[in-house]
This record gives sequence, C-alpha cells and structure tokens, in this order.
Amino acid sequence: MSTTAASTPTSRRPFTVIERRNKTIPQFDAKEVWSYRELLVFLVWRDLKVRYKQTILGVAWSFFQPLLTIIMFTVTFSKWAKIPSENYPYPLFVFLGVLAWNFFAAGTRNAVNSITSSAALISKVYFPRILCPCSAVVATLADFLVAATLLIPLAMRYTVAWSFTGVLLSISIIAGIGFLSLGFGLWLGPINARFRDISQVLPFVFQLWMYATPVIYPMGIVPQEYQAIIKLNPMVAYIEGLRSGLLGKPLDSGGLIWAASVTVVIFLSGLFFFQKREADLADYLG
Amino acid sequence: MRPAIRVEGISKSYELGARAPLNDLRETIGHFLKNFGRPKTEQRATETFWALNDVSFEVNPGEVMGVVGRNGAGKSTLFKILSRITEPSSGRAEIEGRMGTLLEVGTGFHPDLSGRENVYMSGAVLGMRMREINQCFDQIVEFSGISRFIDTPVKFYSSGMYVRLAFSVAAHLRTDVLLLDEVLAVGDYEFQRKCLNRMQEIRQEGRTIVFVSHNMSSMTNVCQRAILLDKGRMARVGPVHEVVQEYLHSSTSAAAEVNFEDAGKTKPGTEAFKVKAIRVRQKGQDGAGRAELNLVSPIEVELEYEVLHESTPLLCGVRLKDINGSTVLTSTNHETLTTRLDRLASRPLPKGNYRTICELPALFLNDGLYSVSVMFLQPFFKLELNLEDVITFFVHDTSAIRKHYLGPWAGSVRPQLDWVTEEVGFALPFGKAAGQKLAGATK
Repeated sequence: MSTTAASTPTSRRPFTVIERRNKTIPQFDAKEVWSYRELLVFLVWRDLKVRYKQTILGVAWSFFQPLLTIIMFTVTFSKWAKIPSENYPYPLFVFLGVLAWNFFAAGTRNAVNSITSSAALISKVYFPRILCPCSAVVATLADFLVAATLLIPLAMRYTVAWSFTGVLLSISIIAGIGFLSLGFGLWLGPINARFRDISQVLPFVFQLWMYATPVIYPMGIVPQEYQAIIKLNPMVAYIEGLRSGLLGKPLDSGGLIWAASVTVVIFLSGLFFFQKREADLADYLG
Repeated sequence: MRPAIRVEGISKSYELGARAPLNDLRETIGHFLKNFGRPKTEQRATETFWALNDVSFEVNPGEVMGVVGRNGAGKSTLFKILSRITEPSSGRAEIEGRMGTLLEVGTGFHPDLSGRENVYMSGAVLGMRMREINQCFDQIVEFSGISRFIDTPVKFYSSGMYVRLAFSVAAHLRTDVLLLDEVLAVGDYEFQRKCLNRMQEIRQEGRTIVFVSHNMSSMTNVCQRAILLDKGRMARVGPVHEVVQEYLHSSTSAAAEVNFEDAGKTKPGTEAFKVKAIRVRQKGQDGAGRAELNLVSPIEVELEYEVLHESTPLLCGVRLKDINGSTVLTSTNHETLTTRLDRLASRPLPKGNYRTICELPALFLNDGLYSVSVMFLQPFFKLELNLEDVITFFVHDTSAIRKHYLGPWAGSVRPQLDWVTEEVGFALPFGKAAGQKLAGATK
C-alpha cells in the first residue's frame, strides 16, 4: 500500500492507491507518518491518562517507585552487602543506573506489547502502525522525566555540580536509550503479535540482563577478562556515560561510540523489519 | 467523471493450516526442525482460502453503494482492504478523496476516559484533525444528546448512551468517501433511524458511501446500487433491488419455501399428520414461493399437509416476526380469528392431502424482512407442532408513498387507517355549539 498525496490537476483531494507492497525494498513513508503526528500525541496522552486515571496518587507513583527503590538498594547493597560505588555517593550512583535501566526495560516492554494491546484499533482502522511502538516509548519517556526530577534533590544533597556538557551528554544518552528500546520494539512487536511467547519471556530476559549490566554495582568490580564481553551490551556504555555526565566519572568515549552504533543498527533494521511486517499485522490480530 | 472508488481485480488469500496451528514459537521451531532439508513440496500441505477472488467495481462520487452477501462471503475482507487495514494479495484499488472507515461503533473509545476525552480520541483515530474536532465538538455533543454526562467516564454510560456518542463522532467525520460496516446493527430503532437519516444527508452533500448491512430494508432505502458477494466472488453488481432480490433468493436465510418432501428431509408432524411444504408468495401468483414481495397486493402463506388418519380436529396458525425478532402478529384459522369461516378448521379431517392458506391483506405490512413461524394446534389452542422461523420473506414497498417519501418508515406494520380532520370550535359567542354543528355537517 502506498499513499500518493500528490495533487492532481483536476482536484486537490488526496488520491490513495491500494495494492500489494513490494516487500524486498523498504519504503518508509516519513511524510505519511508526519501527517499522523496528532494521532501520536493523542495515543501518548491516552496512555498516560488511562494509566493514572484510577490511581489516588497519580503521577506521584512515577516518583515514589524509584525513591523507594534507591532507599532499598542503598540499605541492602551498599550498607549491608558493601557493594562499592567508586567513591561516588551510592544513592546517586544507583539511581542513575536504575533510572536508565527502568526507562530501557519499560520502554522496550511497552513498545513490544503496543501492537497486541492496540489490536482493537489495528484491526478496525488504518493508521501507520509504527505509531504504536513510538507512542509507547514516548509515554515511557514521560514517566522517566517525572522520576528524573528526583535527581535535583539528590544532587543538592550530595553537592554534585552539573556542567552544561554533562547535561547535554546525558540528554543524548537518554535519546539513545529511547531509540534502542524502540528498535527492539520494532523487531519484537510484530513477532509478538504472532507468537505471544515474546511477552512471556521478556520480563525474565530483562531481569537477567539487568544483572549483567552495572546498574547496582560499578564496572570496576567486573573481572578484567569479562570486561570485554560485558561491554558488548550497549546499556553498559549508556549507564556509565550517564554517570560520567552527571557524576563526573571519566568518559569512555569508545564505549559510547559502540553503543550508539549498536543502537543505529538495531533501530534501522527494526524499522525495515517493521515495514515488512506492518501490512500483515491486522491478519494476525484478527 | 472520475469514479470515487475504482477496484480492479482485488483478491485476498489466506493459507489455511499455515495460520492456525503454528501459533507459538515451539511449534514453529519444531516444524522447522522436522522439515529441515526436505524439499518444499513435502512440507505441510497448506490450503489456500480465497476470501476475495477477483473483485472489480466502481463507485461514482455521491453514490451510496451497498455490499450484500452471507457471512463469510468476503464483505469484511473487502472493507478491510479498502480501508487499508490489510493488504490485498493481488489487484489494485484507487480511492479519490479523503477516506473514513467505520467498521464498528466506538473505534478508539476507552472505557476509562470521559465522554469529552473519547470524542477527541475517537475523532483522532478516525482521522480527524484536532482543529476539525474543536470546530464541531458542540455539534457532536448536541447530536448525541448526552451533554450532561460528557465529563463522565464512558464506562458508566448505558450501552445506548455509548453508542449514541460514538455514532455522533462518526457522523461528523468530514470525509469524501465513507466505509460503513454493520454500524446500524446496534442501537434501538430510534438510533437506527437517526443513522439512516444522517446517511441520506451525507449522500445529499455529495459524498460517497460504501455500506454493508444485513438489514435489507435499510439497504434498499439508502443505496442506489449494490454488489452481491458470494464466497469471495462478485456474483452481481447492479440496481439495489435486483441485487437484494438475488441475494434473498440465493440465501437460505430467506427461503420463501420449504418443501419437506425433498430428499434428505423428514416431514415434521405427529402420528396424525405430516407437514409437506410451507411457502409464501404474492396472491394470484401460483407455484413456487417467492422471497421478494410487494405490499401493494395481498400476500399468501400456504401450508400443505397430509392427514394420516382421521383424529382430533386441527387448527393452523401463523406467526410473523420482524427483522428484530419481535412478533408482529399471530393468527389461526379458529372461527373467532378469521374474516370468514374456514369450513374445515376445527373439524376432524378425513385422511388425505390438505392446503391451508392465510392471506395477509394488501397495504398492511411495512417495508422489511419478515419471518414466518407455523403452528398446528388442537382445540383450545393446545400446541401440537411449532415450526419456528421456517421461512423468510422480504416486503418491498412499491406503493404510492414512495413517490413522496424515500426514508425509512418506522413500525412493524403499516396499514392504511381511517383518518379524518374536522374543524372544531368557532370564536365566541356561538362557540361550542356552532363548532359541533359544523362537525356534524361534514360527516
């Protein structure tokens, strides 16, 4: 299917051609997606609205959850288990890890499930299906931003000064994490529409993956021989990069370049894969 | 004039067997391992199911095109392809102008959101711009008639309120081409009438509608032309009355005649009698039953039965139901219920074949689909045999009223009644008395 919005000499009405799409060549119609931008806003707005509609504390939940998590982690991992934090204040150290990881895990999970949870829409009305995973990641980003406000009191408590470049670096890293989870969502969303195993397995995979990522521990305690393998994981460089930007840890620019490259490959290949599968989605969702 | 919709050779196939059993990853992997290295032809035999097969038609701007066919004939598939929800396997369609789809009432509605929020959400999902929704928001709420509850979450709405609000959004969709599927099947009569009236308005605004419904009555009232789909193929395209007639003839759901003497059928009945055939037709047209009838001349329901041995007296009964399943009337040939005495009713009948005819007067039924249930009773209305909804027929209004009014007509029946208007009451001082005098004079 392709839409030609080009004006014809006789009228200015849109002209739609419906036919089988050539699946070997990716045809990403950015112009069409752009014309649906208002729907994207509505989908994000609905996601957030529905999520907080029936809660008493509402948005505050996005705030309390990480707060309680860092208190718990600080007590158990830092005070009791004596996990080092490379001389940075552990609450701030672990919060940056948790914040980034939660955004990545929740973003990916929501993007993957966005196809099946929008089944009623997808099988009843046309819109570029890519809006589903996109809106899921954007809505997760909104939750992330609420939780991230906790950084301000923490930075004040531990008197950490932020530099402009450090904040800029952090923002780019968050964007990178967003595109990475969107990339996974583009790959796994259509597969999950057909094989619901994905959404069953995903929470478990993410749990294991978190332990393989320096979220609650510093990179320094990983034995030298495993460092290379651990660093293949793009989330390692993203989380370490956040700690560089906001805590002043030395920057591992090589790692960040690797993580950014992985993100670009996963995102672009995901975009291609999603384009190929998009037309069949309604057939599998019924 | 360029057509608003041009469909050329659209087909859609599904691989049966490929879709259903391979629903989880384990089976897919198992299947892959089992067939690994085998030539493709030996691998699981899949059967191709053609949901649509080489369908072509054109719809002109401002035309209302109906699509009829039995369940599974491909109507939904055609709609899903035209509305771009799914891709065709082959063929091509062109649509000129902005297109909107209504495959169900309340697309995009979320139970936790308020009516107001859902109007915006649903509008956006159906392709309206924020600006457009803002412009007609008040009209939408007014049309729905639920302005008091507009800020209440829709999960607290009654189903009627929900449907009204949802349709109101859809009715204000400003698209050049509108695809409507079974939307009118929900809601009460009043609502359905509102929908049909709105469709007439949309048509008068010069917009194009493609309309699927099982309600032949609204179909014939709203559409000019129709397409008949049968097992994915185009069986016919043409004027709506011809297509509806053909559909009703070909469809078992609207059989105008059942012949229990046909092979493979058992004659219903008791030890004393067996039913041979039941049919409906226009009075004066002998022979086989006909499903499409007009209401200008009387309609006959004919029961043929065989009495096996002389026993207790027998009464015949007929019950008519309208398209919603509500009973329009029940009648028997008992002497208290007939216009003239049926001499063989309520009498022990000698062995032999019999025919009982019930005549429905002309200009009595309304436009629409009716089903006939047939009863056989003993005296004091003790039910011996009941054949529920055994035949169906469709009454089409060809009477003079259609020269004056084209819209749907409310009611299960539409008899001609005695009407009189008289002037009553003059100005004082003669007042009442004078008025009565005049009324008396006109009689």
